[in-house]
Amino acid sequence: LRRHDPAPISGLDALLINQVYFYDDPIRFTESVHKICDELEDRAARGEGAFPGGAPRLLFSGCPMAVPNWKLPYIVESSGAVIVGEESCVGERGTRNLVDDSGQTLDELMTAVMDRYFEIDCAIFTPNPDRLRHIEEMYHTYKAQGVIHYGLQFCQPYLMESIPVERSLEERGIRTLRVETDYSQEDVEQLKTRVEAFLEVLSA
Amino acid sequence: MIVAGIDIGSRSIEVVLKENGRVVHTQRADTTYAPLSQCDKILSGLTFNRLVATGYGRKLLAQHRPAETITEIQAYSLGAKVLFPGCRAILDIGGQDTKAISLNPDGSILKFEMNDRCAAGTGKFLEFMAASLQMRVEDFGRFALTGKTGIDINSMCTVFAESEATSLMARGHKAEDIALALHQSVLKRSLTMLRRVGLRHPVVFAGGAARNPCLVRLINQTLAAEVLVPDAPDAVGALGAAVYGWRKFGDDRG
Repeated sequence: LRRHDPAPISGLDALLINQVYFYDDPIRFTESVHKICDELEDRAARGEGAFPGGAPRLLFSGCPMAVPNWKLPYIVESSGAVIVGEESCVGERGTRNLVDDSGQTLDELMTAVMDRYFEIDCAIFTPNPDRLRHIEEMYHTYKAQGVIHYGLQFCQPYLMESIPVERSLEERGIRTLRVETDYSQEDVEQLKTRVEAFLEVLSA
Repeated sequence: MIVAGIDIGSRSIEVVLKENGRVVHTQRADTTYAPLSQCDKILSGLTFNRLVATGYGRKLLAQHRPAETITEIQAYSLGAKVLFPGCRAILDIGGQDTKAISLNPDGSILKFEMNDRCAAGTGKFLEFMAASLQMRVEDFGRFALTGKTGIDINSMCTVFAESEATSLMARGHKAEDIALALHQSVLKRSLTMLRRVGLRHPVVFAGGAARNPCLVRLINQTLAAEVLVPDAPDAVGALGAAVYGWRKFGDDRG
């Protein structure tokens, strides 16, 4: 649904949904998501968006953001760009490569669960080539114009992957901005300057 | 048609006026703790049709008077390209931050990086060290040029580096040798950032720290090439803002 331009939902709202996904009651959550998707389909059909059509579209890739961390979408979206997807645990990672539930015995099902674990492309696993492919895939699927790689301070696996990911993406012509920050509000303006400069570069 | 570009930085404010495509006025003031009133002071008495602001204080100013804003990344790259067409990289060491920008052959920005959360590798580092050696930062560069190489400052952090400098003095090392080592330390941090964004020649060296003769000598030596230093290195941002305004509003007779 977020492939549409204008994006029917903001990155901030989508993030909130993804965050709630972690702890809400599954039945209630499923009902709510269905309702939201109905509304979004409706919006997309009417060409209505959370942002004006033609707003710069960015893909976010990196560390998860737990409630109440809304810092990055706040910074990006108050600078006029919309986040159209998250390559993250608070994004598509949880809903990809779902467990094959065709098994008939406990053993088969347990093996299926294990198989799923081997497909997880979080940076804590290495080597991790799937992650790069996934970022590229999302970039094209959601028609993004740039990628923001987000690393939380002291999350070494993501910080370590940030430079090789940036380099690989840039080699493929995908403009990338690396951001490393924490939960505090003190560096919001500094990050905004970087995001604004990135948007200036993308619009040139 | 006069366009004013203003760069409101952490330590200094620069204004450049462009009239009909030519720079007609350049002025500088300290930011102090009251940037808005400093802006008012520097802008009063100047006539212009349009104002473009960049730097830390750009949004503050835009709330106060009609002004367009652009980031200092864009401003510095525009200013450097006007002064040195064909440049491929810009290193700006300012009062409290350092920026490295790499440019494509067509002049568009390729990558940029900013260090604005740590004093290491910025003008602040040199200012702090100069003070600890009881010297003005304006004289620090020339003093360091009289030093001999051989000392390495290992600490990245400004505070720890000062402790290191004090220890070196206590061990009998000469102040000018320590000063040189401190300059080398600043350069090392800055060049690491510059290499990360892609170092291609010619390199423009801007920002207040480009007035420092020791830094200029060291960077030329390390890169084995002459960097391009503007006459008014700290006004490159303001120039870029004025250029932006000129290109955007230049045909407007308003």
